[in-house]
Amino acid sequence: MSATPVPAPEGAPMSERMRLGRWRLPFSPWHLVLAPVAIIFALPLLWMVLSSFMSNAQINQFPPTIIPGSLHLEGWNKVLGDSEFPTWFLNSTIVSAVTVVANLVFCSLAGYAFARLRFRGSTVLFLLILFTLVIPFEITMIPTFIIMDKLGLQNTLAALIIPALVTPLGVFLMRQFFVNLPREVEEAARIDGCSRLGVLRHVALPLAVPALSTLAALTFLTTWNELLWPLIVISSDDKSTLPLGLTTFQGQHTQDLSAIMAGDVITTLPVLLAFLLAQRTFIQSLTSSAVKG
Amino acid sequence: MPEISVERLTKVYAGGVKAVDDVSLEVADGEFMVLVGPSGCGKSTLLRMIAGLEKVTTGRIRIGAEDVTTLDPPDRDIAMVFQSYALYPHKTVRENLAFGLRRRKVPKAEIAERVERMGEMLGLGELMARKPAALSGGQRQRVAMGRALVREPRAFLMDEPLSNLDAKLRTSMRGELARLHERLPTTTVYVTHDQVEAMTLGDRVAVLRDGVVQQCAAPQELFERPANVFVGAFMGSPAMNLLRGELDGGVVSFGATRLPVPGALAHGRRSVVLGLRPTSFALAGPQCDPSWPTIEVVVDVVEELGSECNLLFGVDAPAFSGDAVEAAIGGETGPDAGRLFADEGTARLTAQLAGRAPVGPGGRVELAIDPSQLHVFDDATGDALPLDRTPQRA
Repeated sequence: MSATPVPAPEGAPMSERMRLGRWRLPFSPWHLVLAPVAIIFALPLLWMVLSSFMSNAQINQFPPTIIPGSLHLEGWNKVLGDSEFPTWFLNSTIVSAVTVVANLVFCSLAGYAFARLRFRGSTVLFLLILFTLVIPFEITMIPTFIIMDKLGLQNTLAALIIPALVTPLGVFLMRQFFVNLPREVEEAARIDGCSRLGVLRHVALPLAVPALSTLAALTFLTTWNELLWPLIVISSDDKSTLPLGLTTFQGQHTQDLSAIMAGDVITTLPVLLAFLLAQRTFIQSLTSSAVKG
Repeated sequence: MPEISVERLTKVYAGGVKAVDDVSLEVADGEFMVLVGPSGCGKSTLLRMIAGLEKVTTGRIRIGAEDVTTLDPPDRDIAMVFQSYALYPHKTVRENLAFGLRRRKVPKAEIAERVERMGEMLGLGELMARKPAALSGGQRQRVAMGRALVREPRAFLMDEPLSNLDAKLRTSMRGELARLHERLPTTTVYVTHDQVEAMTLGDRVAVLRDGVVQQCAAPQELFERPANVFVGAFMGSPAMNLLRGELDGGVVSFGATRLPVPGALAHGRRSVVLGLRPTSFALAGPQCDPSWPTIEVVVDVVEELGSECNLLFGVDAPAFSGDAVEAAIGGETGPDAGRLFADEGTARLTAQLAGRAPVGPGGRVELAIDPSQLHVFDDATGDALPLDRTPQRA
């Protein structure tokens, strides 16, 4: 990092020379704030990756080392060879993928209905759905467990998927987006020959890509990282998801840190990739209301 | 048989607001019907009901022989141009034009051919692959028109399609629209609040106020024989001069001025509102009909417009300003529009003369008034008093 003085050209007007004569940073001053914050965020990830290549002794060493003296692959061997890790990965992928797709379909349908269709009790119904947002999962988890048990779904992937098929947050997010879509564009589509569903399919949904990708990212993140619910409803190793499986490396008195870290790297990777891929639309959806198209 | 027929149509919104009140209207095949009125008069609601975008409270709508009152918009075979153009932002110009045809399952080859032809006709050639965000206002306007035209529907509905354009572009697009209708004489219902658009485009014009049709007639007839004070004040620019007077024996008097009104003899003695178009004044002199009454005025303000000029002057008579006038001319600017001095006893009149102004501000001038251009309205109801316009020998 260096600051460079910009020499004022000969004969330039006084005000110009004063402006150019000042010391200017070769980057935005915001970077002085953002760079340390980025380091704070990146450090745990870096430490996780490095630790996965250390032995347990190296990880537990005090003071901790960032760069290990030697490379150890015990953690990776354990995760990829000795455990059911690939099964957990597959389970997590199935649960997350189905949940994301279901949320995209159902939340946009419900959100569109609340935004555009006038029917008796729509406001009350919407408020009720919103109200469920403030009920913590800890209150509903036992009843949900009982329902799953009665349906004979305990210890199945379906028990992980069904309660999350449609979420109040998703309905709210999509409704807010559709409410702000220009009504005339949809009316034009009606006159051009679209049914209600046709308007949703051909006009509203293509315009809602930023909102849909936000919903997909949020749903994926929540489902992929979910631990408490799988812990309650899943009881066998072959039905475990990644976060649940990773807990098996941690006993009451022992913890296999290198294996946990290797597992964490694999668990985190899809989330990071998903964010990198969706980054542009994600940011666009967060700023879309601020910029008139 | 009329192409669009509206029978006793009423629209009451939740909360009891009556936007359209018992409107009946018939639009002939190929006719260009303009709905005009100040904002909030119900003209857009009426259009949206014809389109099927608003539910009808009572009444019926027919398109062709078919009763479409309860049909969904896709089943009415009409096309609409919106004020905001309402182009599909995620589709290219070509896809925007093709969308309606694709939804109606027109064969692909025919869609391509019709879209290309329309693009060529509207000069959209190079813009076909662009998205609406990359177009200027005028170009978006043309795409919106193209999207309606390419469908070849039974009728066009247009909701203030020119009001988002700047003044110059609006004038040229107005001409283009008139030409277009001549080339493709499709039945059109056109909503505007601009009376110049109404006068220049419409085969017939329906003037609305508070959801009620005040008068529906050819533009020239609206201008020459307004049915009431509202229509008189709304149509024409500069607006019609209105002042209170007394009608007696076929002569209207206000202040010290007395004007014979041909054909008003039958109405006896009563209080009236006198309407005088700014264009019904002329400079008194040998070029005028010597039988025209004259009035000597002191000019307050002169507005030179190039080929003509407006003279603003006061006459010693109470001005007429009822709700109807305020609705007609004050709708956009409030009831105080154009009122600076509190001289209630003086009516401010405008005279429009051809050529340059004969005098400057403060100058005296003698103006002749064409008596055949006088309008007399009932003081209480605002309705025009029928005048016997058959030529009479003096």
